[in-house]
Amino acid sequence: MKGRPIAFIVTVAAAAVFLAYGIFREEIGEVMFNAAML
Amino acid sequence: MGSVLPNSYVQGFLTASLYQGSLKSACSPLLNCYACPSALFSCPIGTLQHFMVTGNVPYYGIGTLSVIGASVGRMTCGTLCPFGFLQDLLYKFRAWKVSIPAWTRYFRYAVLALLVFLIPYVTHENWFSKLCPMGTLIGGLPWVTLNLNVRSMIRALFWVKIAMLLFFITASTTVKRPFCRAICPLGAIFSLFNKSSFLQLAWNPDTCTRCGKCQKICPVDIRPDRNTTNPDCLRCLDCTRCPSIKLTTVFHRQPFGVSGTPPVEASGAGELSGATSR
Repeated sequence: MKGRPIAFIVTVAAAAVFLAYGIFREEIGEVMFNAAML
Repeated sequence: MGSVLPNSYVQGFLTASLYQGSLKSACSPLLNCYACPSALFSCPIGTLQHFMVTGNVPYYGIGTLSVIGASVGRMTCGTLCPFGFLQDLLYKFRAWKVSIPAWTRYFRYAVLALLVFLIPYVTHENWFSKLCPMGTLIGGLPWVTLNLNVRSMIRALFWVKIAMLLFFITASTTVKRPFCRAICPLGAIFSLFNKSSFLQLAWNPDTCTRCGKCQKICPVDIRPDRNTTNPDCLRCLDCTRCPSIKLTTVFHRQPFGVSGTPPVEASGAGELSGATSR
């Protein structure tokens, strides 16, 4: 139970890194292109 | 709200076209097909599969879903998902009711690993989207109705999808949310965050009478008093109608207050001690 706040912070940090790297790789454009090409 | 807002591009139905604006670059935290004529956002599972098909790691998709999961756990499943809402409505029909064993939850992890990641990576085909009953309901069926060209392209797979949709519609009248519990890969992703998400459920063992009413009203048939971080929990907050269960945050150690000096005249109630957030 005590480790849960730490687990939350680590998870959020990892998620933010993934999201930022995805944006850096311009994946947003590919997502939009994929949705438009259905 | 979750059913209406992500599908509010009504013009799509009138003109038989897809919305192609900038909102489509965002993944909705719901199982909502982006092939639906009125869809404003992208399907997160479709996005993950697209990157697997092209042989890339879906950083943006995983990051988006992880941020949402880390914040609210499976709450979007319980409060916003249109397919979950449909299953809840179907369960209200008078029909023979059965419960499914808890181990069926492991199927959704298999669906996530195989149909969303592994098989699309190997076959270069997005297989979950091909079979998704939500896609059939709000994507496939409207297009077959609206567009003659699409209707002429109907093959055996379409009837398999229709059969799967009918199966889940029928099953939802007898089992609480069968798709969410046993199949949904988006729910499988979010359920991984239930233990460490910012929003948590807290249970007070001192006031709980173990009456089991929380299980009766739970849309996935679990006992939040036995495990408040159950991966099946949708965080719909229906059980918080009971004063022994409340919504709290991961940083809140004493969500029901610190145990204080009990008032002498209030027998029983005075024995309330600190709450447990398991």
